Amino acid sequence: MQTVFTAILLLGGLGLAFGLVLGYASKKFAVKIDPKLKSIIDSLPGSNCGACGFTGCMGFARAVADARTSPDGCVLMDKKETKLVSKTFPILLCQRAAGQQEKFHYTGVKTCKAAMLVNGGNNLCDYGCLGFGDCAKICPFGAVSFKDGLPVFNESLCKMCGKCIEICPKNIIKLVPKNQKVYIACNNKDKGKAARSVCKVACIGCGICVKACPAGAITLEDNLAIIDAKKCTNCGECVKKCPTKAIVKQ
Amino acid sequence: MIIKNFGFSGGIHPEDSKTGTDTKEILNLLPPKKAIIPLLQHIGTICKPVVNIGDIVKIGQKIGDAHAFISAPVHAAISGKVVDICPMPHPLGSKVLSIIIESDETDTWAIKETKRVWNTLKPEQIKHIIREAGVVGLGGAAFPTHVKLSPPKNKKIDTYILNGAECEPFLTADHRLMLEYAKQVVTGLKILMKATRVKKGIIGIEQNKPDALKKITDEINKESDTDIDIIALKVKYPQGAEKQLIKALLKREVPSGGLPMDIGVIVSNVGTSFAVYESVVERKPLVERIVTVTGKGIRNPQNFRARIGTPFSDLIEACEGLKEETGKIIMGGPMMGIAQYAMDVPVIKGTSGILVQTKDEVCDKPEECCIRCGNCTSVCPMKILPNAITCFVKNDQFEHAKEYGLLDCMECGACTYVCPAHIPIVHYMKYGKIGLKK
Repeated sequence: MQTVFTAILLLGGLGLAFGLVLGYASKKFAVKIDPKLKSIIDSLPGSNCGACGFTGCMGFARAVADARTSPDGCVLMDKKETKLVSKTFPILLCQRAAGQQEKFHYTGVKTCKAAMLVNGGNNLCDYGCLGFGDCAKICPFGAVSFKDGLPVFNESLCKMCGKCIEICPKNIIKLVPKNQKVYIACNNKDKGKAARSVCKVACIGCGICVKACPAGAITLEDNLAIIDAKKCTNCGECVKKCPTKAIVKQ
Repeated sequence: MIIKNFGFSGGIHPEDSKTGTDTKEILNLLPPKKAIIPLLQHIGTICKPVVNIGDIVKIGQKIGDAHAFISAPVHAAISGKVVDICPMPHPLGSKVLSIIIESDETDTWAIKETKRVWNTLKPEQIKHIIREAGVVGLGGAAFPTHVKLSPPKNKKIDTYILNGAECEPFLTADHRLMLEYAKQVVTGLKILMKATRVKKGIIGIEQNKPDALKKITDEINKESDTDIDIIALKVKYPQGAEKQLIKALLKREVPSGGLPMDIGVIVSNVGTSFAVYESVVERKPLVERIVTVTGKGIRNPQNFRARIGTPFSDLIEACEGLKEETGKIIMGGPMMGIAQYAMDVPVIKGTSGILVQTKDEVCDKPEECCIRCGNCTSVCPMKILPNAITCFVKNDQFEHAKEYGLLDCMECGACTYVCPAHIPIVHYMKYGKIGLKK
């Protein structure tokens, strides 16, 4: 019994002594942080995405504190309020159906960038998604998941740092305003027949949506329909009329 | 004839598989009904079309040209009407602006004059003729020949090497060329030596082509006034790679990042030499080349003299078509060739062969982890560490990969050939080089 008490007293005593020493040291030798820097760090999102061009949020905060950059450099923050608001959202300009015919059987390195070197990738459509998931691998927030071979963006996780847009070799990830629910999920700029021959859900540039749109928000450019977000009212008329279902409503 | 058994370190010994076509004479392939002539068939600036849709063109007429120095014009390979100028699939991948000519089946030449006497031409005139004829390196890389012949003034060239090694398995285009056109090849070398004011010439041929060695030696012996050596090289892949060939023939080493001209050498393929002869003496621009159509997946392998712009399907049809178990169609040889997904791509200046592999021959095994066996390092002819570079490239550490010699890699494929883990090392190298550029 006595052994137990001895052990408790000894260890407890040691713990208390070390605690006192450490507590004293933390007060006495504390590193002073600039209160300005601390308040800047607290107001930043802390995701360390690096989209501001500095090494994480700490690097950005230091630069702001030293007046080397403007405080609105953080892409995740609203310009006026210091509150985390992302106003735009990434979409994929491709709806390649899973199990669609391939251009050839690809056996090389399993990344989009490497596949791009081999005849522009194995997707039959030269403009479409390759589906090896470079965007999912680079996303620092885990906001990109894969469903039926195509990336799906999680709205609540995405901080729109833009890394997926940068890495996509086909340039088919685009930011749209969050309130725009209707978009053209295709980037094929070939003529109608050529586009249709490689993909069933391709925009064939027929122009039916241009006529159907009551707000006049759709125009045709390079055999591809483009929706002007400022004019679009999300009525969904074009979605109904599109013969290839290339226009989608979220 | 001198025999050399030692050359460079590394290298591999794949089965050469040339017996299918090395005894078959070169056949003249009929001109295609429709020729697709890409405006980019060389290393350098893409040409601009100089004809319009609806124009009537004749064989040898210039249809595309560029003002840039590193570029080579393209010529009509058949006579007929230009029906379209649009991007078309290209054997080197992605689409390239091409001129499509529909044949009028008369096969008329634009220029048909007497032979030119080349001895009296000045070097500058020869270079100009070669440029206007659109001659590029026919070994595969298609580097414009007139650029190669114009080294900067401070580089002193002392030796001209003609590359007849043809180390790629299966291909026999250069072999047949040396047998059937030995005189033209040797004359072409003499023209090239005159254009660069070089006195010493060497022709390097692998020992597995004894008949070609003999033929070329006989041809050289007829000439008395020139200093051309013929050297029989050890059979090894990649013996025909520029830097390895120089090492084997002259024991000189091209510095890392340098060119053969830095050590006083210019290397050309025997096919290029033949094209130079044709352009200078016969006044024929580069509108046709010799293509080997071979492999286990083809019914009747052949060597053809095909017009530039002939679709691959025409060549394959002339060989009685594909076998049922065809797995892969490759432009070039099995080691460095590029797999094709469409049969309507045209023959371009760099097409030395079309190889058809059967399904059993195609390696479809998944990539596994590197076991650090070191096979790739021991076979690498450039003495770099493919395993380390692959590891860096996998993790996007392109700068580190560069320090380990990524840019020295010539993508010969020896490492991928020996890798027991089926790692597509060459693909990583190509990916790394692209990554480094960004």
